[in-house]
Amino acid sequence: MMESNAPELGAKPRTNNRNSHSRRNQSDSANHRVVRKLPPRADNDRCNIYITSKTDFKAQQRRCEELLNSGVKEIFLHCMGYSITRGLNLALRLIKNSEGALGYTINTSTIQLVDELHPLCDEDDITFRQRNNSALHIKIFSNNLFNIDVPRLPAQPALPKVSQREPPKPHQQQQQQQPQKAKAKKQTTRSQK
Amino acid sequence: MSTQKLEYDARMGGRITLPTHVSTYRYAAGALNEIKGLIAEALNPVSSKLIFQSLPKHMRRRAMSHHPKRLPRKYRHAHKNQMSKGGNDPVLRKRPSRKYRRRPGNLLKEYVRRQRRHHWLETHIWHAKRFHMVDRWGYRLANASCDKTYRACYRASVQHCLLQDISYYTCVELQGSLESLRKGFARLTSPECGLSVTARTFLTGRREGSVELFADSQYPRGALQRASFMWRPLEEGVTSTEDTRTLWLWLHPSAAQATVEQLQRVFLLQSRRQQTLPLEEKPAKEQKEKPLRFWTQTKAFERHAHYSNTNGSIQLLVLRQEFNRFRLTGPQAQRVLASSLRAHRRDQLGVQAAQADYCEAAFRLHSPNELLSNLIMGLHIVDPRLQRPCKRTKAESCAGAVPAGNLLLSPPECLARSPLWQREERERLARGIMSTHHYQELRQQHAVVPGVPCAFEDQMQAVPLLLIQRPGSQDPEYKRLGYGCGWDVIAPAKYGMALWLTLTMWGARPGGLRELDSVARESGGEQHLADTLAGVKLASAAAEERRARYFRLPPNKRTNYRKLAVASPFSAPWKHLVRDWQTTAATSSPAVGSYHVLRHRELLESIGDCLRLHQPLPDQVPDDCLIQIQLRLKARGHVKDNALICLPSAADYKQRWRQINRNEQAPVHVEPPQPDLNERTRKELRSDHKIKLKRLRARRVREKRRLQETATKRVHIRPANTAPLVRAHLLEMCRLWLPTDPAETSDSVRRQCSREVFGYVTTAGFSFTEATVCAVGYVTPGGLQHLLSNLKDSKGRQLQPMCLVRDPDSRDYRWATVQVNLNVAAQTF
Repeated sequence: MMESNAPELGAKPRTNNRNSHSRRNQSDSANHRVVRKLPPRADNDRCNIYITSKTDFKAQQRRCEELLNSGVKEIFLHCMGYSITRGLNLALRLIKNSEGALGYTINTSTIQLVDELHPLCDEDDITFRQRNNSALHIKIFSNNLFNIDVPRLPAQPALPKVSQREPPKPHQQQQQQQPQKAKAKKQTTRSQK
Repeated sequence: MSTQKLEYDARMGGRITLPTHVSTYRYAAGALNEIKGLIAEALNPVSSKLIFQSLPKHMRRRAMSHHPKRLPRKYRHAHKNQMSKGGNDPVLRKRPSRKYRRRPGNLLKEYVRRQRRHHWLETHIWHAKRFHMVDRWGYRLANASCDKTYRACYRASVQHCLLQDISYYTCVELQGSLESLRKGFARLTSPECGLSVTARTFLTGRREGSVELFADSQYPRGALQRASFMWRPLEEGVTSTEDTRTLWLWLHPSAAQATVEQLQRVFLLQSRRQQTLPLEEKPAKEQKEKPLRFWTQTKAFERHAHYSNTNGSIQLLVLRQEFNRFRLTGPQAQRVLASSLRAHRRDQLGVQAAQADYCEAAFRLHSPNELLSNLIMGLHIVDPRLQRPCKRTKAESCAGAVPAGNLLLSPPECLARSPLWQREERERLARGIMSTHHYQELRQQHAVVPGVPCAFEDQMQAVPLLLIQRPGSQDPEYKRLGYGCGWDVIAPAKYGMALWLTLTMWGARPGGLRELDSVARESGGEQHLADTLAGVKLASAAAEERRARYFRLPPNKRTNYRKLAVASPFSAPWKHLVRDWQTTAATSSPAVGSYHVLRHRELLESIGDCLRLHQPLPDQVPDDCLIQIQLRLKARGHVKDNALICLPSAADYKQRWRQINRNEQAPVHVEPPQPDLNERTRKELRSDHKIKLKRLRARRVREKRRLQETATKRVHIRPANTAPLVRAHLLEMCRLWLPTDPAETSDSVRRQCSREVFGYVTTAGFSFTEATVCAVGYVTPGGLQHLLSNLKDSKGRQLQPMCLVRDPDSRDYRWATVQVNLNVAAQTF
C-alpha cells in the first residue's frame, strides 16, 4: 500500500524548461513577446478534471478517488502536452489502486491554440501564432455490479398538474415573482378541489 | 401743633431722630449718586435673572426656556450659553422621530448633507447597508463586507465571479491632434516602461492600454500613478488622416489631481471656468486711449472641469461621476454577463448586430482569458432591470462554444464603437432613464400575468455599455496562467444601481477595497508601487496607524524595538536603505535621498536571468532603484507588512542543511537581544516627572493655604496648567521608546541587526494560490549583488538564491525564495 501512494516518478524536466526560457528570450527579444492563453475547456463541472503539471500529484489522485467514492459513475481526465504522461500515470494509479473496480477508455485529440505576440515597440501591432498541441481524454468509469442501470418501470399516467411552470427563461422579466407564486398556489388548491 | 409729635422710631424706643429740615445741596448730592447708580445699572445690568425672564411681559412666550427659537434672535446666543452652563442643554435636542427622518424628502436632504465632504458612488446606499465603509481619496468607499467573506471572495476570483464597484476612477477626456498628444505624453512617460500611449496596437481603439505616468520629464523619479487609457475608435466615414483624436485616461483618485496638473503643464492648458474674452465693439468709434478691451466670463457652475490651450487645439475634460465602472473577476464572469446582458437588436445587420453576435459568442467561452487581451467591446443591451431572475441564482453555463481562435483572429471592425463617447448621447441617456418607481407603477398597471414581459418594456431605451477584457496573469512562470482575469463594465451614469443589482442577482459576489488588495497580492504584485503618490500616502497613513496603536498599548505590552534591533518599525525607510547601499562611486549622484522602483522591463528580465543562472547583475542597473520581488516562505513562519529582508551568511546555509537533515523546524537564526540603553533613562524620566508634578501640586496647595489664612471667603486651588509639561514629557518618552531615526547615522538601516538588511516587505500574507505565506517587497540592487556573489558554499556547490525574512515584532529569521516581478510596469489587475 505504501507503494501505491508513492509520489509520482519523474519530475518536470526543469533543465529543458530553463533552456527553452533563455532561448525564447534571446530569439524573441527582437520584436515581440509571446503571451500564451488559457486552452479551451470542454466543461467545468466536477467530473471533468484538467491535469496540470504544477498541482500536487497526490492531491489530484485523492481528488479523483474521493469523486469516485462519492458515487460519481465516470470521471474524465483531460491532459495536454507535457501533462499527458502525468495524466496517464494518474489514471493507471487509480485503476491499479481500485483492484478491478474501475475501467477506462482513452481518446486522443488535437487542440488548436492561439498565442498572442505582443509588440515591444510602438510601430507594431499585435499578431497571433497558431499552433497545435496533442491532448488526451481519459474516461474512468466504475464497472461495479451495483452500478448496472436497472430499466425503470413504465411511467404511470401523470396526474394533471396545473401549477407546473416551465423553468424561467432569462429573457423574461421575472421581478414580480412573489405574487405569481401565490397565484400558482391558489390555482393548485382550486384544482385539487 | 405746639407739642412735638413723637416720631415713629422714637415712639418705639429708638434713638434715631429725623432732622426737621434738609439742606438742598445735600439732597442734590444724594440724588446725583442715585442717578449715577441708575445709569450704571442700565448700561451694564447685573442681573441674576435668565435672559428670557428679563424680557417684558408682552414678549414672553410659553416654554421659552426650552425652545430658543421663541426668543428674539439677538438673545439666542446668550441664552444658549446660559442654559448650557446649567446642564440642561437646549442645543442637544431630541432626535426627530424615525418616521419623520424616513420621509423621502427629509431622507434625501440628509443624503445631500452627508455627501458634502465625501462623494458617494451610485451604489453607495446598497454598500453602506452591507459593507464597512471608509473615507478614502475624497470618496466614501466600501472596504470589506460585514460578513466573513475573505476566503469566499478569493474563491470567487478563482472559480466564480467577484464583483467590485470601481466607479471612483476619474475619467479624463483628452482631445487633440495625434502628433501633439504623442509629444506631450513622451514627456510624461518613458519607452522603457513599455508601450507608449500612441502605440499602434492601441490607436485603433481595439484594446485598452496602461501606462506609467511620471511628473513632467522627471523619469525615473516623480512617479504619479499607473493609468489605463483607451482611444476613441474612428467612425465609419472618417479616414485615419483625420487629425483630431479623443483619448480617455482612467486615473486613480489618489493622484488624479496631480496628474491633471501635470497634463495642464505639459499641454499648456488653462481652465475654461474663468476666461477673458475680447469685447466685440464696432471699430468705427474712436477709442484712442483704450484700443483693447476685455471682459471676463466666469461660469458659476461647471459640470465637468474643462481645460484647453490658447488656440483650442487640445481640450481636456474631467468626466467625474459620468460613468460607472464595475470590475468582474473570475471565469464565472462569462456566465454572469451572458445572463444579465441581453443584446438590444434593432436591426439584423449593422454595427449593433455585429457587436451583439460577437459578444454572445465571446461569453460562451470558458474563461475571459481566451479572448484578445485588453479587448474593448461595445454593446447595446436592453434595460438591465428586465434581466433579473426571480431570486438570486447562479448563472448556468450555456453549451456550444465557438473555438476561441476564430474570435481572436477575426473580430469585426466596429467592435469597439459606442455612443458612450458622445456627450449628447450620454445626456440623452441620463434624461431618458425610466425611474424604478415609474417602472414599478407601469408594471402594476400593465402586467396582467405577473412575471411576463409587458409591451411597454420594449419601449425602454437601450443602454450602451463598454466591456473591457482583463487578461489576468500572463506569465505562467510567475503566477498561474489567467489568475485574476475578468471584465470591466463601463455603464453610463444613473444605470449603476440597476446593473449592479442584476449582476449580483446572477451570482456575482460583491467585494470591496480589501479584495482589490488581496487579488493584487495573490497575483504577486502591488496595486500602488512604493514610489507612486498613492503608495507613499498609503504607507505614511499605515505608519501613523501603527505608531498610534503602539503607544496606545500599556508599556509592558509594547515591543521593545531597541532590543530587537529594528531601526524603523512602522514604515519602510526606502531613502535610507538606498543611501546605505549606494556604492562610494555613486554617492555624488544628483539627488541624494531619492529612490524609484525599477520598471525597465529588459533590465528586470536580465536581473531575473542573472538570479536564475547565478551571474553578476548587469552594470546598467541604477544604484538608487528598488527592485520589486515576490518572496515565498520555504517552511514555517508568518510575515507581516514592513518585515525586513536580510542577506544570509555562510553559517546560515550550513545551518539550513543541518536542519534539513535533522528535520528541525526552528528558525534558522535568532537575533540576539540587544541591550536597551534607554531603559534606565526612561524609568528615571518617569519617576522624575511624577515627582515634579507632585512637587508642583504641593506648591499650589501651600499657596492656597497661605491665601486662605488671610482671606474671608473660601479660596480655591489654582489650576494646574501643566499640559505643556506633560506633552513635552510624552514626546521625550516616545523618543526614548523608539529606536533612533535612521536619518541620523549612516549605515543605520543596512547594518541594524546581525544580518545585513537589503530590502523591506510592503504587503504580506497567506496566499491561497501558492498555499504558503507570500510577500511582495522591494530590494536594492547592491544587496541582490551581494546575495548572488555569496551563493557558492565552501565545497563550491551552487545554492538557490534565497534570503532571510524577519518580522519587526520577532527575532526569528526564516528562509524565503526570491523571484523578480517582471511585470512591474504592466500589471494586469
